[in-house]
Amino acid sequence: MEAELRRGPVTFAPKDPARSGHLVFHTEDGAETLAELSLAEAVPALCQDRLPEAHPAVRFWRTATITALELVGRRHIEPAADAGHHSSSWRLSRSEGDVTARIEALEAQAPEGVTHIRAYLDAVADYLALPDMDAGVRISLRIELPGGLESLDAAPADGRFVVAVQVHCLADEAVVVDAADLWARPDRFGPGSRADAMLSVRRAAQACPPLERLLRQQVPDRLPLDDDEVTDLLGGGVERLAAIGVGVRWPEELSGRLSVAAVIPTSGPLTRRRRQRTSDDEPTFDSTELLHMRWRISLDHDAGDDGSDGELTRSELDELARTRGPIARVRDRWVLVDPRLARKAGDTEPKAVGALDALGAALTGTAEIDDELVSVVPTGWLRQLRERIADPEAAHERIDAPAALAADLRDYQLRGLRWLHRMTALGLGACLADDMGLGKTITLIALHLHRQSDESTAGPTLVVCPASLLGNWEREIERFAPGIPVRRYHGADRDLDTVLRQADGGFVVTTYGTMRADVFHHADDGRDDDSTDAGDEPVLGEQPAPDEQPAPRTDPGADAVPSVPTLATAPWGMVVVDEAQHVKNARSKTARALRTISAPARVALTGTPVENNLSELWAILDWTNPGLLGSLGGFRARWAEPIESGREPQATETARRLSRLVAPFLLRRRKSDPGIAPELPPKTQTDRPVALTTEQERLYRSVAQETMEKIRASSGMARRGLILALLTALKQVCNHPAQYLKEPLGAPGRSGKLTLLDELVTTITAENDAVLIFTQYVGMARLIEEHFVARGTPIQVLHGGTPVDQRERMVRRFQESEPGEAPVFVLSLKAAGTGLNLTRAGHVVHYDRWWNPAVEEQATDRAYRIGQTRPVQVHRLIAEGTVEDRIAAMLRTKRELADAVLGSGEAALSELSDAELADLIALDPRR
Amino acid sequence: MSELAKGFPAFAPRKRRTRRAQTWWGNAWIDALEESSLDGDALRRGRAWAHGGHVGTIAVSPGRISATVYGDDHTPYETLVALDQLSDADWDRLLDQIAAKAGHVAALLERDMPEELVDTADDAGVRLLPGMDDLEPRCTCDDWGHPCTHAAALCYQASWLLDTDPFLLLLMRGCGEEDLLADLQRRNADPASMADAPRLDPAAIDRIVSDAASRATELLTQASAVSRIR
Repeated sequence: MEAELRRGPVTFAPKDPARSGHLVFHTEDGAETLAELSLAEAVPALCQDRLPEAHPAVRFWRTATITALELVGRRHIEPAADAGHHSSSWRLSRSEGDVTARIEALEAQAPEGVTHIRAYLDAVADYLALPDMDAGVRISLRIELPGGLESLDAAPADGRFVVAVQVHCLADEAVVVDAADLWARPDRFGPGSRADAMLSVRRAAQACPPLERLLRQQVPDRLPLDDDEVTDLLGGGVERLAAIGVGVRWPEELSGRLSVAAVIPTSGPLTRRRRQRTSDDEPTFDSTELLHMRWRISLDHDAGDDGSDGELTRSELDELARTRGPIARVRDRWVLVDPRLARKAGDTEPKAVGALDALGAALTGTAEIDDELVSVVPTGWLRQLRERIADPEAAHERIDAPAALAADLRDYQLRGLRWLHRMTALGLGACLADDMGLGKTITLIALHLHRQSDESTAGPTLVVCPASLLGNWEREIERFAPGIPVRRYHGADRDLDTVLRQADGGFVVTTYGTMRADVFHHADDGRDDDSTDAGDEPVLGEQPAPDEQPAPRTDPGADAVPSVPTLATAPWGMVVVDEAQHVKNARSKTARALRTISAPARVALTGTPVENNLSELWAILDWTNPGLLGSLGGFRARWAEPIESGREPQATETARRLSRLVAPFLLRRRKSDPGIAPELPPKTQTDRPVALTTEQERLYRSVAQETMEKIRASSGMARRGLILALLTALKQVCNHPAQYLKEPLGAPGRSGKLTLLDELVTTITAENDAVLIFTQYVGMARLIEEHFVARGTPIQVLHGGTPVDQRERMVRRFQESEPGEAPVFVLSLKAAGTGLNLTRAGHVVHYDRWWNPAVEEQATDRAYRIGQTRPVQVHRLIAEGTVEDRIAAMLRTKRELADAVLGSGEAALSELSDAELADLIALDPRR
Repeated sequence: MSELAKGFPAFAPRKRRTRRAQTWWGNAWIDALEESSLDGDALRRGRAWAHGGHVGTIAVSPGRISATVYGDDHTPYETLVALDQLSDADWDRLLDQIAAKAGHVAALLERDMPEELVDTADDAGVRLLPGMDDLEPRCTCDDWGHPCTHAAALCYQASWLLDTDPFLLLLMRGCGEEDLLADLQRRNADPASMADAPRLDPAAIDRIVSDAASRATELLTQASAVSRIR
């Protein structure tokens, strides 16, 4: 028993029937109620606890309970006399002298305030006599064959079948009685059980109309069924009843079971291309193909000695097809016949299935054909294809990391590369959804390089990503694939023709906003895209307004200059969308624009667990593999609704089938996976370059220009002071215009860094991880707080002025609360002195640079320290083309020099000459 | 049974104006009101007042439904609509008829009133739903209308209450839900078992006593095991 409950007084609240009384536990002062326990909860709890230091009332109720148990154990109970027509309540025997003596002795020990002692003893007796009562019941149906099998040989007659209603006790599934018994012996399950059973029968009748006749009877126990009604039951009634939790049991005499499956493809190929293929060929996939399908009907458990698998012969099928009524004789056995199966037996028409539907059916093992879920047997190349892709990480091919890749791939990255290669080579799209920090970008770069080695797959790769990630892509490509061209298609003066020529065999990176603007001809220079499509996101289910749907530029012939390539028509070798969750709404302009871009290979990258959000999953996979999951409406009806309904067992079963369907196309590894974690270095540092916004650029230039003029005109201490002030001012501009201007946050999208931080935090919190954000400035910490509070992300801010006790509370909250409750912790770097242990965080963000590696390391080690078992990823945000960028480069390339120059932090910079300083701070956003 | 009464908080004004109720029995109630009215204007105003939230807390009890209804100038009027209660003999016949079909009991438990149930009652000579002139309005207003606007407003809202809970009709006819269901359960029990129902057979008693004794012994074993360990 919980310690808290032991400390206060306890009273008994009698109820009718007696066993439903409650023990009420109070707070120590007796003022408030802590818990009301039923006897089913209280009796075992009182028995199984010696109750040290418990309140006298608690100890008394334990003694009372044991007294009652001893008396009942000696069979001193009797039906309560006043229980109306039938006794559905019990009590301690009144006639036994022993009982009376024990009760009186017990009453003499009662502490003050304890009453209803006799009522409690009777209640315990009643509970022990009828513990399962009141738990509720469910029903099931049993189909009987009163005349036995012999009756089937005679001519069909109504009433050969009888349905009997069975009632199950929910408290104990083993307890089953016929409805007839429940009505005859009402003490069986408790007073409410007949009402429950009647309600269940009423619901069953709504699913299966013949059962309505049960409701016209006084006791809904048994009912003769005519053959047509049994046929209805076989042809869908059973499924409808199962959906409301009513099972149906068929007579055991009818042991033979017919089963049906769709065989895809049958031997004869339907399209010309398939005919040319030999069995040695690699299976490839063409979603436009049509495949033959046929029904296979077999008698289960009839796999003969001759190797036959029980499949019925044509003549047996013909006979089955002629069957009228619910039963037929097959191979000397009586079997039940589902009318839908009988129709299929007679169906010799060849049927065509789209290749994509066939693939989906092969993967799930089931297909919905004419609103009916049937099992599917894939054969031939379809089976080979399924085996080849069913396990994404199976090593079918021995391709290695491309020689041009300037890095070693970790094992799981190599598995990811092989999977991406396998899928794209088959003509299938893929979504790599590994946790952030596992190296999706490098894996993708490796895939690009590998595809260049084969003429049939070579070609430029288009990367579409949020604007805040453009710089990151460029740097990673330059770092891991040196010499491979990468061009930015972005900004007002962008020119696809030039970019394509320069990026031959390499990468073109663009943003969602630019792509949207290009495809829809918007007078949008693509600079201001906020990297999400929030602006044009229609509410799901709403049709976009007509004026929002200008014809996408898919047809170059319609253009004035047909030869100019567009994003949609350029000869891409592959299209990649990064942070693919941005296209989660398939009706948004971003998603529609994306769909106009054709490419032989499509890869989506995302770090958020898309498998948890079914419409997001649909949107991403419907781009990578159009049609695989059907229309959004169809997907909802077949998959999302049953899964989200929570109705078991359908929900779990449907989720299992969906995951079989999706698994080949979606690879998600977590940092914490046992196979992954050992491969990760304990600490990974990533520079995250990010572009300034137009506002930031303007501000940066004017601050630099004004202050440089003053610096040139000054000397000595004044000069050094001005230089430090300049550096601080520029860093603040890079952080956020509002920080420099000492304004409130204002409109979103003013700071490139904050936009990127938002992206990172979104992904990190979606992964249920936590993050530490370091900044040197309390002002910036406040702005970050304001931003995340506005978007509803729980955030804590700790700075030098935070009182010690509050610090400790925040740290405890960060370390100990449930995932998602306090995932974001902002610390001003100076505040992060010693004594903070923040090992909960898997990510550390340095929002601005200290320019003193030692200080940054120390901060990072708040998250990564001895005892930390998980890898930590460090993100350093760097404003591109600014003084931050240049100093970061110095730190990277000339570490020793940097240590010498910057050992004392920014102060060293105050000794620079005018020219050196001007070089250092000059803004060069387009490197 | 006069202590039986149920109160319902006032309906807030409704935007969507509907002439009819949601259920067939709610509509039968409205028909009874409208068919016996001589004043179409009073009905129209009553409907508008019902939707406009002019009716205060509604009390339903055997033989009547009542409320304070507020006029356009917020003057309160005590309004009630009376309905005959069924006699004990009527109830006896009616409950026997209902209990004879499991479906009727189940329907009532789900707040549904099958037409067949009302027909069955009619066959037994029991009028469950009010017909023309069965609803007798009384009001403290000076209006001579029959019904007056206030009573009409109350009746329209009463039909909304009946929509959600047909037991209210049975309550007005004189029997509360709990008594009714208990009685129906009793009457619905298998008639064959009724003869010996008052007493359990000795074998069943013995089985229950034995089961209870072994449960008690098991719990005691756990209790003493705990005592030994600690």
